[in-house]
Amino acid sequence: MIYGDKMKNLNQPLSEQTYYILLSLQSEPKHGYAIAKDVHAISKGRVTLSVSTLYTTLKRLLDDGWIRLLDEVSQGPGKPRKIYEITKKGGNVLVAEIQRLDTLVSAARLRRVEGIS
Amino acid sequence: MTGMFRLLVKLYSVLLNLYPTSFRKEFDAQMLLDFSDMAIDAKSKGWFPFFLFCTRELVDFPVNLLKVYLEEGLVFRVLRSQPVNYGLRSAMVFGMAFGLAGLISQWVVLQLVIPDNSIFGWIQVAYFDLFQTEHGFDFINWLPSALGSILTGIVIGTAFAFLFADRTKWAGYILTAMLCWFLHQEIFGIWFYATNLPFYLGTKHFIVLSYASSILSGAFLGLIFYVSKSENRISLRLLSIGGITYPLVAYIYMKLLLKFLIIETPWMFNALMILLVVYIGSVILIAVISNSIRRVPWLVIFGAVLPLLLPRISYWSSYLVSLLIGPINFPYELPLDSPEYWPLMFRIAIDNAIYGLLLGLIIGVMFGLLPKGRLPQVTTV
Repeated sequence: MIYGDKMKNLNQPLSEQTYYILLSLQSEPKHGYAIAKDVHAISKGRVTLSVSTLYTTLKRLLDDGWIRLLDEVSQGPGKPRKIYEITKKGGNVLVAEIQRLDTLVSAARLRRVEGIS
Repeated sequence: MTGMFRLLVKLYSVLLNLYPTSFRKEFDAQMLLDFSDMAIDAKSKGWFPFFLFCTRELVDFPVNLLKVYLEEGLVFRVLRSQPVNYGLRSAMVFGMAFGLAGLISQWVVLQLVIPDNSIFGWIQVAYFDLFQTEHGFDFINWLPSALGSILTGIVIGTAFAFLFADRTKWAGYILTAMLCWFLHQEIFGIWFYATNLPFYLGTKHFIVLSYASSILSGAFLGLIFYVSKSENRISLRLLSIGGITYPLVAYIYMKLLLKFLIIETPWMFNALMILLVVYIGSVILIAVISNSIRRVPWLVIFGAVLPLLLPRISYWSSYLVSLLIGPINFPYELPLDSPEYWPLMFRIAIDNAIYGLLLGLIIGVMFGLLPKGRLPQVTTV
């Protein structure tokens, strides 16, 4: 069960960036650049994250405990990349958001809004 | 990676310094890595995607920077920081002082100069009766402008002393700021009263001379910092003597050039530039005498940049104000009881206050950046 501020988080709609980042990390842990590329792909090119937006969002997700730092891996010379993974709390938030969106779309379907199959 | 990419990544790494330390520690290496990869990726797709990438980063950066500061509650800490605090206080006081000074200057012009029976008209008549010559009339014509600058200088000096000095040093601060303000305004101005300068110099030389005089103006403004803070009273004495000799020498020098017909291009320009260089050198000398030898380069930089920068910012600010409350129509003959009199004065005060705000902000931030031990006292407003 989720109480207090956690419940508050669940009831609030997520921003598009947050939603896609959580969705991206749901499949597997990734580093920042991989997240940005994946978000671009799963949103079919509609959402492109700038570096500053990506890391401002990641910081907020880390602070809220929705994601966590999994590891730091070196990919060749240079500084290692930080790999992030979604937490159980983040997973719950994502599921709640998907359910909320599903409810919205279902309502539209019930009313047979033109253009919605 | 090409030179351009290296420069772009370097630029981004510099921008990252704007983030709070805690954020930088955690993310700046990652952000730089990702930025570099994304830039290469965008460039491989062509110039247009690369342009889009750069634009997106440029637009998103300040927005996210502000978000981070707001989320960490650092905005209030920044507002309380020394340079910002000093800058805002100083901007407020200087804004008010300049607004007031603008009113005083205009009052001098509108009341003491323009009416037919004005004091300065009377001085001209008395001078002619006494000496039976019109030589020197241009010097008398210059006096209202000089008086306006002196009064303005006193107001600004008072603001300066109020902000940065304890009461025992107020007189020195006011005198220094008044003299420097007067000199920064009037040395170039006196040449205009003495002759039709643009006519003799031509456009190109006139512009160069204007820039050189801006450097001198700025050096005088910078000198306020050095002389007022100096324990060495000789510098203030020299400045006081300069208050008379600088404009007098400038006037006599111009008269001699005209008398000996040194008016052809480029000789008049060369002669005036020589005097300006000598003047700038003498300002630096006074700064050195004020025991500020290590900071003299800053004086020159301050001098070179500020007078060129401020009028332009001020012009655009005034232009915005004119869009909001209408353009200014400057009537040269406006009786005190005219209904347009006070709206005009109010408008002049706003224009001057904007200039004062900007100047005060820069002066305050400069003081605020000094190490704590060397800070002047700041009066709480």
